[in-house]
Amino acid sequence: MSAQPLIAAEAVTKEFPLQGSMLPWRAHRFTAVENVSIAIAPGEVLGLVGESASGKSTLGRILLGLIQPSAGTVRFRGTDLRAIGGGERRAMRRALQIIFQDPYASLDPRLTIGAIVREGLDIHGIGAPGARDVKVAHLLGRVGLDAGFARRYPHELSGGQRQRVGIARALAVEPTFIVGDEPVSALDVSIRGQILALLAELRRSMGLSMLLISHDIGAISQLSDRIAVLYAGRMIEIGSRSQVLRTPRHPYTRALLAAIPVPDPSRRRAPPPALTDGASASPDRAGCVFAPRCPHVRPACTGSVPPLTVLESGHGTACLLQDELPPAA
Amino acid sequence: MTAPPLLQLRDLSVDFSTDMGIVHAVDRVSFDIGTDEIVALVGESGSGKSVIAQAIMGLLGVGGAGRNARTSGQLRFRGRDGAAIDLLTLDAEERRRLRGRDIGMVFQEPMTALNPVLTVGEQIAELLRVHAGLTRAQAAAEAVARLAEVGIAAPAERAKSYPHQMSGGMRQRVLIAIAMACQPLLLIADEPTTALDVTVQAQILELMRTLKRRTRMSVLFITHDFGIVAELADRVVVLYAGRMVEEGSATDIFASPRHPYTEGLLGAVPRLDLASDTIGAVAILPGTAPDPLAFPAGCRFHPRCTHARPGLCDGKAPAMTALAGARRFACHVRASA
Repeated sequence: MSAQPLIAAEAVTKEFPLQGSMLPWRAHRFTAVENVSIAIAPGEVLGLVGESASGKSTLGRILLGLIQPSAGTVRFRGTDLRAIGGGERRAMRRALQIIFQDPYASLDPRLTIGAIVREGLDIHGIGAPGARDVKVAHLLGRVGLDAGFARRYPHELSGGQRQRVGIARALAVEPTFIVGDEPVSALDVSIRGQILALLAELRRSMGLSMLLISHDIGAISQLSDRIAVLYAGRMIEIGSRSQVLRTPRHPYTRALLAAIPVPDPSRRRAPPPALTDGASASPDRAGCVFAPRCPHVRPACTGSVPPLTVLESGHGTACLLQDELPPAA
Repeated sequence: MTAPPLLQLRDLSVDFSTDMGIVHAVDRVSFDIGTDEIVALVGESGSGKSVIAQAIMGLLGVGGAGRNARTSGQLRFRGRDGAAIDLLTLDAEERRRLRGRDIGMVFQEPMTALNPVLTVGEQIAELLRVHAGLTRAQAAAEAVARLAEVGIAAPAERAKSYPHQMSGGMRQRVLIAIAMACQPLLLIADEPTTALDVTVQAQILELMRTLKRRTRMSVLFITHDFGIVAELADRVVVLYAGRMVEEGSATDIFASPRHPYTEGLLGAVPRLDLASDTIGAVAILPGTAPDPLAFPAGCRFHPRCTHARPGLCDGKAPAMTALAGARRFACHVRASA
């Protein structure tokens, strides 16, 4: 990518102290994100995939400046987030928005939909106060809700409608980058398509950049230009949508794709290769974090951290054995 | 199928009285679960799929939201002696004996379904003492064997673990071990993999397939995920807003869905396995699920249906049209096509 990225994380790491340590100066730490570098171009949608506790939500919040990384830098249009102060900080906050997973828990139940969407306009002083309700009505229309919804309360709305409100709230302050943290996971299958189509339309018409986070690679692949895969806090694969889905190179990505049920009973497959049960909470970080579950593991895998090697095509993988693995099924 | 069905649902209806009115959560649902058969009950939120499971388990009418439930119809269950009993008219004592012994259930959330202050070994042993009459020592030993059966490594040590010390996948294995403890005739699994990561889900589905092959039990698998249905089910029942809209073999339903809702749901599943230009592309089903307090007249799906005909679909509720191969669907338009 020749153009300057809109937002970029450079070698970010986030450690959280674990509770219950008797000796605070020797506190145990949980590494949520480790040495991840990622850049999102203007107008690009990056899918971020991983299982629970893989660090994907933490990485999303680091990019938004909501969590300070323990190490590494986040740059917005080339400027270190930490160096942005005062009025520019406010502008930066406007530019970076988030849509949450749970449309039930993320809307204040005591506020009307209109007040929820308007809040950002008031805080950032967008438009004349008298014109803001008109803008709210316009925003609701933008996400497919009738202007009458402004007078209603969150509990009166379905999950899909609430998620539309969450999107309208994020759009209100005219952002350039939106993190969608499992934006469709809590929704019924028949509603997911509507919300994905809305996000796709907003991206087209407004040139938004997005980071779409999901544990379900199927849910976000349709919208994603590129897909990054996190495992135990490390980025183990990144590439274009078709590179990751068609020619996955990391054994974990392959296992993940092989585990997705195929909606066709005539193609019922052999069970996917047995991975041991779930990720360990604190894998040995001296080597490959996937090694304890990897069907191809070799002694070399536990000795050093496999670097993310990026091919000329832009397809990157962190696996020592990537050139020796059989082609993906 | 030559053997008589294990469970026959006949015109099962469940109404809840709420402060805001009566909710007809399940409306005249009829289908069979055969011996040694996996039936998938497919629907979205509010379709009534979990209410049906609770009705079979006898969990309605015992408290919570179920306190105000009114159930009608028949649930004919063929017990181990071959005699049919109606699960809806059982007294509390008989029901308690049946539950856990002849019918086991696995829930969605493996953390909340387990008792946090008992070890998992104790929780399995408890069931074996109550239903199989084992002594404390026998039950403890048997519990370890059951943990091994569901694929838990080092079962003797793991039996001494508390639920919070286990991963989500392991807890779900424990729940399956509990449900399977008395070798039930019917296992009801209510979205057992929804809370799990996809690689763990694949393992749990494989475990259920293996156990079913070994024990020849019947399974009622409740899900909203047609991918899982394709992997697991012999037969499929599709629910929408409390009513059955379609029933058939998994092969038939996937090859030629008859009801527009089934069609829409199948189209909404992203296909990562197809040609690259269609990666993840999904069709869009318009509209939202109806308000359970005010279901639409006629076909409950008609306001969202692109095939709906005014004067036909908004009038009478469509009856089931039966086809060869035990296929049925409820659609005015497709029945006349």
